Amino acid sequence: MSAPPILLRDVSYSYGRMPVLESVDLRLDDGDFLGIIGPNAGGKTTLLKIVLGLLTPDRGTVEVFGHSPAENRGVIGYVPQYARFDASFPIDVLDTVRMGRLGIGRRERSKESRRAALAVLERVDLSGMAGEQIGQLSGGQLQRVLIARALASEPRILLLDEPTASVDTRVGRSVYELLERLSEQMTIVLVSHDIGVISRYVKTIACLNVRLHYHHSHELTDEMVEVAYGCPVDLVAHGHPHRVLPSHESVGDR
Amino acid sequence: MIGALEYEFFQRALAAGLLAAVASGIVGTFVVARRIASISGGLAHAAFGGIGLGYLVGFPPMAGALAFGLLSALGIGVVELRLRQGLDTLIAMVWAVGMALGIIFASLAPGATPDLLSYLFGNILFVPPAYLWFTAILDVFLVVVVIRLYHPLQAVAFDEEFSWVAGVPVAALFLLLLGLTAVTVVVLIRVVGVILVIALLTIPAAIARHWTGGLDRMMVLATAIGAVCITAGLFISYWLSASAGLDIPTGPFIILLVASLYVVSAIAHSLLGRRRGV
Repeated sequence: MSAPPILLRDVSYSYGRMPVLESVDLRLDDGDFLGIIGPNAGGKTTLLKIVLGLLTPDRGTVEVFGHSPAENRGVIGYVPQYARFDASFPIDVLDTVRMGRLGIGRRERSKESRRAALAVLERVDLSGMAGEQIGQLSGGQLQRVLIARALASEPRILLLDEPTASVDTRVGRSVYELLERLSEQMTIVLVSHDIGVISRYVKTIACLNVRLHYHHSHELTDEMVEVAYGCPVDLVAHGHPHRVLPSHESVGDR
Repeated sequence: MIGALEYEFFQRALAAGLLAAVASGIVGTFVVARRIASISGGLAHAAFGGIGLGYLVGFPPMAGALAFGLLSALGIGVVELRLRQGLDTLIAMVWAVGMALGIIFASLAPGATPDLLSYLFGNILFVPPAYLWFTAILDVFLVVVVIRLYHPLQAVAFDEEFSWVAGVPVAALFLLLLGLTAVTVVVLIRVVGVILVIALLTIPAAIARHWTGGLDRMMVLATAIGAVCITAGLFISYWLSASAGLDIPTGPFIILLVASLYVVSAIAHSLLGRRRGV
């Protein structure tokens, strides 16, 4: 029996005295496409960083294909949150994507990594943009560059943090459609507060608000959401009856 | 003014300035891109502690500066890698403590410490040949490092977390960058002195950032800007000294020149509506 892509047992994490994650158990199998929703400060980004090995849990164990995340660096492709990202850095699209090919043990010639990066750019429909500065891109283009960068490392797992937080609905849909295609080749976990859209594309869904509520199903019950957000949220309507989170437009704009 | 070039001391100063501009342009680009300007300032002032110790114990002050600079770089680097934030206080401490140690050591030193001021404000006009060799070797080393490790260094400066996840040796590269910054800062102390180093290291790169969109081009342009300003500073201070008898150190001139150039560049850049700078 091969080890599952992601296995968390009883993981807890706190910043100082404030618990961010409590007793989180999570098992993902090959081909899973999990969407995790939950309020800000509910621990979504922290959970991703623990799976990536960027943070070490206070308690519990994390395994990526049976090894610690630090031992298995390069296995996971990481798409960080757009808003936390220094888009003013002097770097073009091609060099950004090539970052994915820099892992230790991947000794390849400059020409090869260039070709690989260009091929990935084609996959995310950004072929003509290789020479652009990342600061010149629209939100949706930058988001796809970040996905391309993660894909360039040929990961077996893809983790995305709020991949559609700063793009409009149409672009968001194209990002999700891309992820849907990718989910045939790899295990994907994405976190988002975007309940309406997320539930249309992911295979299973979980709610995270310090504790993780996950039943290995696509069904998102009112009860789960209520537990996660601490208030009822209408799942059917596109505009939620009351916004669970502040609008992101002011954050995303530069 | 061109007559200055007939003097050997002036030729040597010019050579020193141009060699220093190369190291400054390369390292300054990373310092600006990675936003570690305050660390480089801290390292320069920490190095002053080593200069004072050199006077006190009797070894060459520049060797002390190098040792203090490198040790501080290692210390700051290790803490930064562990905490990843909240480093301001530590840098401020290293900055001030280095200065305090330097002054205490120098006051305890036997006899006079005639050159102390030149370490604070620079003295490029009388550089020893060893300085030229050291800076030339540093330049060669920096060029080789940048050619061999351009993409990994770029990746770590840009996005440390992603680089770590992808399997890049982040800690080693970051410490390498800080170590190279420390050595470069010590080299620049000779040109503009401890207090002004941070300006010579960062301003040319910041100007270059206005007009270029890649670290490689930034390095070349920052080097050129540094070289022009150092050369101009040398000629101006020579001219003031020869024609008006005004004996003003070169370092402050160089800094005023790069700073003025920055203002002009920033205005031109915003008027032309080019991409956002730093």
